[in-house]
Order: sequence, then structure tokens, then C-alpha cells
Amino acid sequence: MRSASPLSLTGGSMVHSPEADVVIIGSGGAGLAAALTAAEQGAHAVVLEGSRQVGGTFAYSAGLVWVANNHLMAGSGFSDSSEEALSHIRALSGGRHDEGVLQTFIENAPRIIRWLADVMHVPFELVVGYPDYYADRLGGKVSGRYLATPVFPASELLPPEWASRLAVSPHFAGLPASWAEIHEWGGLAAMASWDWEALAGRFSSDCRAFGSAIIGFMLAECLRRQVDIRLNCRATELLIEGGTVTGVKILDDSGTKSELRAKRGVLLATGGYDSNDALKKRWDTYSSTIGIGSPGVDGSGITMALEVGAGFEVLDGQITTPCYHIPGEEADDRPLFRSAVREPAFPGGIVVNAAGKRFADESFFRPLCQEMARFDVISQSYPNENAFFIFDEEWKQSYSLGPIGPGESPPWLVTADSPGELAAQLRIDGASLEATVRAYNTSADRGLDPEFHRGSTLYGRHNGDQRVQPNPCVRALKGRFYGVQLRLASSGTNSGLASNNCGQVLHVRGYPIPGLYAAGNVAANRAEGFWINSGSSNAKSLTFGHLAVKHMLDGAHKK
Amino acid sequence: MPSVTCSRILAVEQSTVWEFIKDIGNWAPFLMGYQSHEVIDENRSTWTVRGEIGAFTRNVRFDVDIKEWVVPSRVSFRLQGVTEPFEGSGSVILGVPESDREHAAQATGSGRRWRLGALLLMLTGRWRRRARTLRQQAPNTAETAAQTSLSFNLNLAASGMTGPVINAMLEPMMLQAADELADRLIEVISAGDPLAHHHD
Repeated sequence: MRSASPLSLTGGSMVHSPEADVVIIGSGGAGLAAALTAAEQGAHAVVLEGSRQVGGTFAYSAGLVWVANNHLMAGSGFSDSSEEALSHIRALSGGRHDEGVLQTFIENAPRIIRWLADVMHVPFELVVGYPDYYADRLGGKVSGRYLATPVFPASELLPPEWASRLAVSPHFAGLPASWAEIHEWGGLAAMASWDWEALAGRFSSDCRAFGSAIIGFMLAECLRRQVDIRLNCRATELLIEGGTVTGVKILDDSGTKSELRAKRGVLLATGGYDSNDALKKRWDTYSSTIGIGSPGVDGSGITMALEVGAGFEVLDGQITTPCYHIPGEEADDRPLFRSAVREPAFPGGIVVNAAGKRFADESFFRPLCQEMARFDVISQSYPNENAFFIFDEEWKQSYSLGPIGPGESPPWLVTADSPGELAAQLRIDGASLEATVRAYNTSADRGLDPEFHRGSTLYGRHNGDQRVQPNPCVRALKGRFYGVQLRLASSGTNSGLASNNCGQVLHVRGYPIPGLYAAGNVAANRAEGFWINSGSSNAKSLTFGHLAVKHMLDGAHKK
Repeated sequence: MPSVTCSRILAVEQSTVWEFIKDIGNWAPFLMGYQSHEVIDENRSTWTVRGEIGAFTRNVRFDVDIKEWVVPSRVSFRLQGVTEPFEGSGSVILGVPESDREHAAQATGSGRRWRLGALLLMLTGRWRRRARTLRQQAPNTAETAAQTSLSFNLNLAASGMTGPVINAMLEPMMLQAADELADRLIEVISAGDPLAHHHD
């Protein structure tokens, strides 16, 4: 049940503090990192969360945190340096990064992650064996830059009333495992051999995993440090006096309006706009994505900042993944679409458009998504928007499609004896699909994909099945065929507010707006431009959430 | 294998209970997540229930097949998942409490409809979260002369890759579901004129 009144640490009803040192809007990774920073310095921070649960986009994420040159690498035999990471991103950003913001991120993230681990009891561990997206490019790494945490025992570390307020992503429900364990167990390609009995035991004891686990550890520390977290409490408008942001207007679930003054600053940590279709249509070239992140991430922080003159920076729109829908599944009062990042990379599967033709290297979801969103100016259409994941019997018997285990074939899964028959059911051009499979199989027997080069990158090969050689992503399709329609999902945004290396929001005329800060997806991805890596959004949210509050409170941050 | 056993004494004649439950339409909407059911023949039916699985919900379709029918005391059945890999079995016993046997009313009506109606009381899914409220509203059965016992037992086991985790989810869910359905039945049937009940 949704509470009728705001909730706070201090009790069932909100204590209407008229003033705080720091006002933090949003309780995701950026918001909680900021709150812990303020708490450590003895400042009074108030965290305003519009929903009834803590966690935001971060809690819905896979919970990976990409930190180059992190404190755990050396101890595990990995070498890295800030310079390598800087050269990596500089080379791959498309010239769209901001050098100051990039340097601040790369040079401060390791220190802040270590602070979270050592002081704030967030038990980060290395995820060994997971390569950078562009591991084979200048400054890329095959392993060592990903961090995550073990599962979070919610019933042990949170008071009961707060355990239910910790957001859980529907995408990872029923999977209380850590990334370190997943890699130890053989990866996602080997799900069938995981210890599901052990996972069941963890589920029964309310263990949380992935992004929810990291948020859980941070929330537990926030509660220990008496951070004032107010749920069901929505910031609606920034207060501005003489050009300085001095607080926010608030609307709670009971309809009560109030104002909260901020002595040192307001931090927008509200996430992007991936669950707001109207804003996507306004700002993005391809806007028909399906929001699969936290449903409360609706661009409210961006809107509030634009109202006081903030600049907006367009940087590659949304963070997208292919996704599919299991009929009848719902979460957050909307159809549940499940991300399919890894499945198309497994050998024995391809992705085609409605014309029955392949259009990208399926072993790396970024080019796949880019092509799915591409507007073709010859046909004046999106030729790959209507995409289909096609796989064969051996794929079906070997791998999982989300929660559908190997060998399981639910009635909604379209299947047929031949590509042509499958195409008829999926409304794909049948003759074309037959020809596509035939052409693909010609070279696939030798592990080759001359058309789109599946498995040609280190990251792509990592996504495949290492038991299949010479190419873990390529095998000829044969036997019975299966198909599922793919859509493009949005789990976050790259475009957003212009901000500097201190987290200050920049006015549309380029100067910092006094008193206003942004961290996480609410800010444009100026650290990376067109480069992106799994876990880098999470790392930036933790880093700039911390740095913004440091800047507000003591100006200690020099970068 | 997750299992649940639930027993209740209803402070009404057995015939009254029967008159209510013999018609599936009387109580099917009580099932939280109930979507639809289709009677195939006197022994078989297919049901769709919206189940809550962790942080999301899913429509679950399953077949019910009656395996044993002892009029008017017992019906046993098997369940087989259609959209999910699970199976189960259970039984329903409707009768007169031992202490009140001399006042037992004789069950009447169509046996076919009775057995189907009774067993479908037990189907999976989550019921409305009103158990506590309903329990408070239920009449004091000790003060009523006529009594009917209703007990049911259900065993379910999910298989497949994620079966162990699904089973871990099922156990508390089944207990709550059975408990709340029983309380809801008591509330409606004991209200005096259960057949006047308007479906939600």
C-alpha cells in the first residue's frame, strides 16, 4: 500500500524541517553517496524521494561499477592507471567529452569507491573476467575494472520497515547472486548449472542482489548515520533568490505543499528521463523506446533545472538495450520488458528485421541497438525497429532466455520446423529469412561471420559461449527454430543537464548556477561523450554525488 | 515441495456451504489474480491466474484434472502448469465436524458441479490481502449450532531451471492464499444469504 503521508527515519510522519544544509532530490546511487558524504561531515542533509522506495535507477541496474585503477586491482594482479583510462575514453568519446569532467571522474572515482568500502561499509569486490566494452582498443582492459558487491542480506542489515522500502528490480527478481559468483559459476551461458537450491535459500532469507544490493548497503549506512530520508515526497520546483538556488518546493502524497531551504546547496539526483515518453519525443532522435528502469525516473529534475535557466546537452539520447516481452508479465503497473543483452550473442542465434535480414553484430548490443534505432533517409523509415531474435534447437536446449530455462518452451514462444515457417508466424519475409539463415550457415560452420563479424571483439566473444570454438558467438543454425520479437528498451539517458567537474549545473549561458548541483543520469554524460561502458553510469553517480556535496560544504574538491 | 493444509469450521449447514461453492462463479472472483477459467469436461478445466512472482506479476495458466471423487466427502485432483513448468496435487474435504456429526445435513445437488467447485477453491494465485480484517469480521462459530468442516490440502512443485527459487516463493504465498480464501468464504457464507453476494 502506498503510504498516505511521507515517511522519514524519524517516524511515520515527516518532520517538516524548514531548512537543511544540503537538500538531495533522489535516493539512487548519487543521492545516497551525497547523503553519506554530508553525514560524515556532520551536515544536515535531507533526501527527498518521490516514490515509496529507495534506490532509483541505480537499484534497477545490474549493479556493476566501472572504476579504472580501482583499489582492488593491484591486489589481484591487474595493472591499470588513470592515464590508460583517460586515453581510452579520449580516443572513443567521439570528441564529445569534457576534459575537466573526464579527468575529475577518472582520478577521483577510485578514491571515492575506496571511501565507500572502507568508511561506509559497502563491500565492493572485483568482478574478475569481465572485459571493457572496448577492451581491445587503446587503454582498454580485459579484466579488473568492474566492481560489485556480494548479495545484501536485507533482513539482517535493515530494520523490517525499511527492508520493504528498498527497491528491487523486476529484471533480477528471484536471482540473489553476485556478479563474482556468476562468473565463478561459468557466466550467464551456464545458468542451468548454477546452484539454484542455494539461490532459493537466499531468496527465502530476503537477500538482494545487483543494484539493489549496493543501494541496500548504502541505505543501511545512511540509517546508521541518522540521515533524514523522506519517501513519498516530491520536489516540484526550485526556489531561487537573486540567481542562487536556495531550496525546493515539495508536494507530499497527502497533497501537502511545503518549502525546504538549503543553506549550502541543492543536489539534483533524480535520474534521467527514460520513463517519460513525452520528454524522449522532445529530445531524442529515436523516441519509441520502452522504459525499463525505475518508473519514477521521469525527468522531473531536468525540468526543474531548465526552469531556472540550466543548459541541456544532447549526448546520444538514451542508454538502450534490446528487450522482449513475455505475454502477461507486468511490473510497476506496466508491461515488463526484459533486457536481452547476452542472449543474441550466444551461438546458434541471429537477429533479423521484418525483411528477414540481419543488420548488425549481435554479439555486442550497442551496434545492435544503434541499428534498431536508425532512421533511414532513403526509405524514410526505421528499417530495423521491428526486430526478431531467431535461435535454433541447440540454443534452446543450451541457454536461458531470461527466466525461461534451457529446454523449456512456453506456449507463447513461437517455434517451427524451418525458418520459412517461423517467418510466417512472426510476419517476417519468409524467403528472405531462409536465404539469410542459409548464407549465415555457409561460413558459420567455420566460426566465421563475414557479414557482421560476430565475435570479432573481445567483449563480443566474452558474451558468447566459451565452450563453443573457434568462435564462441558463431555456430550454424539447424533443427527446430524459435523466434521472439525484440524492442528497444531504455534503462537510462546520456543527454541531460550541462554540469561541470564539481557537479555544478551550468546555466544555458555557460556559468555555474549558484547552489544547484547535478549527479547521475540527470546530468549529461560529459565525462564520456559517446563512449559508454557497463557500470560507468553507476560509477559516475557515486563519484559526482560525493564531489558535489564536498564542493557545497567545504570546497575541498580541487579538480 | 511446497504444501499447505487449511481447515475451517463454518457456522452454517453443510447444504448452505454446498449451495454456495457448487457454482464456481460465486467465489472465483475471490481469488486474487483470478483471470478466467474454462470447464473442459466433468473432470478437466483450465485456469488462468495472475500470480505475483517477486517484483513482477505473471499470468499463470494451468490444467486441473480430478483424479478421485468420493461423494460428498472428498475430491482429489492434480494440477499441471501450461505456461510454467510445475505440477501439483491436492484434496478437498467437506463434511460435518466430529462433535456435531449428529446434526449433519446431507449434501445435495449435482455431484459433478460440487467436485469441480470444491477443488477450484484451492487453486494457486494470491488472494486479496484482507485476511486479518476478514478474521475480525467473521462470526463466532462457537455460538452457532450448525457446523460444516472444510479442509483442503495442496502440494505444488515447480520444476525447470528456476524451480527451487519459484518453490521458495510459493510456500508463503500458498499459506496466505489458502488462509485468506477460507476467511473470505466464512465471511460471505456466514453473512446469511451468500447467494445474494454480488461479485466484485
